[in-house]
Amino acid sequence: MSASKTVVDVPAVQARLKKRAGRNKLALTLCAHCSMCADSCFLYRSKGKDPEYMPSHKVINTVGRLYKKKGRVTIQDLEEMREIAFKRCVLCMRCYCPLGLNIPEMIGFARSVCRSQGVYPDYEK
Amino acid sequence: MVLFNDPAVYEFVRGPLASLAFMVCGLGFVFQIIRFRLLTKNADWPSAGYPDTRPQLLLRQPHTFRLRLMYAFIGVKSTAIGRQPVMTLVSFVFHGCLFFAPLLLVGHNILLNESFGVSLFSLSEKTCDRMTVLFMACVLFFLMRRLFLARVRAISSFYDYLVLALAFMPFLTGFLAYHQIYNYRTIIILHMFSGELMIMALPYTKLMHAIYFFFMRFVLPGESSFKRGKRVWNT
Repeated sequence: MSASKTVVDVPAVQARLKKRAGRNKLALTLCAHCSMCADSCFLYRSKGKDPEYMPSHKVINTVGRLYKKKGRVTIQDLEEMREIAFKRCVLCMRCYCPLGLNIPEMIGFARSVCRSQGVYPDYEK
Repeated sequence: MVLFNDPAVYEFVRGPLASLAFMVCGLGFVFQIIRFRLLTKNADWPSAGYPDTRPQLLLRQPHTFRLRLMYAFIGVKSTAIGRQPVMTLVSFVFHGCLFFAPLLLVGHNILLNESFGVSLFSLSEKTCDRMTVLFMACVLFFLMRRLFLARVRAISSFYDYLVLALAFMPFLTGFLAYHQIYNYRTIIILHMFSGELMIMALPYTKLMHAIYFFFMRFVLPGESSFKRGKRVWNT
């Protein structure tokens, strides 16, 4: 799994973040960090209840990180997010949030940001 | 604590600061409602392709009693109270006390009557005192959960503890004031101040789930929404 790019197109990432800023920032603020979404994720339950597989943990460390850094991410940041967004989530949409936040949509958004910078799993290998 | 003994501080916190707190909160509510409307649009169900195939409609037939019973059982088991009963119940009690204890407290209603000539009915002081103790026990539960459960600790930061303290302080100081523990004037000023801080923070922190909970459940469509939802997110 290697990225074809070595430098992130920060303005492009920032443009993507800006386009969805309203909803994403609202979701990130609304998240009560209650961890009630954990049990709804079958990956979390099958991986020995590792907190890193919690839906909220995945969102905070991908989308949350993108907005916290205001889009000024490096390739290494995106590679770390790739591990989370592509390998720790299969977008099965099983996750439940008591506040009704759409977690898979945000993971999908994180994937789109990574993919736009050429950072994605190489399924051909 | 000389500052908190000053009658001028008391008058300020009781009067202008309280008005400011409610204004800031009110403006925040308006801002969040406008924000929600700007981020969403009216649902156009035929084009959105959401036929109403909710199982409870299909199963509302006499000969499918067993299926309905099974669905109800699975339905409860698959809900929050089925999967995490303790947390859900504590959360329910917490929010109930958070809302009703200050609203139906006789002391608050007397102040409302003095200020505006109106008031709500009041619960007995003993009942409100017990609700306060129950609330503080719930906060302790949340704190322990955040400190000692790995999955909650993994996503917790200083901000989460701060917001919890923000919700806790009005009740703690109110309890101390009611039981006249420590200097009453100091404690009551701290009580009003902490309550006003919480009210001001409500629409601007994660406490805004007080507003958005109702939008998510009653206005937007989703698996835990009531009805189909009148609005959807802008694409």
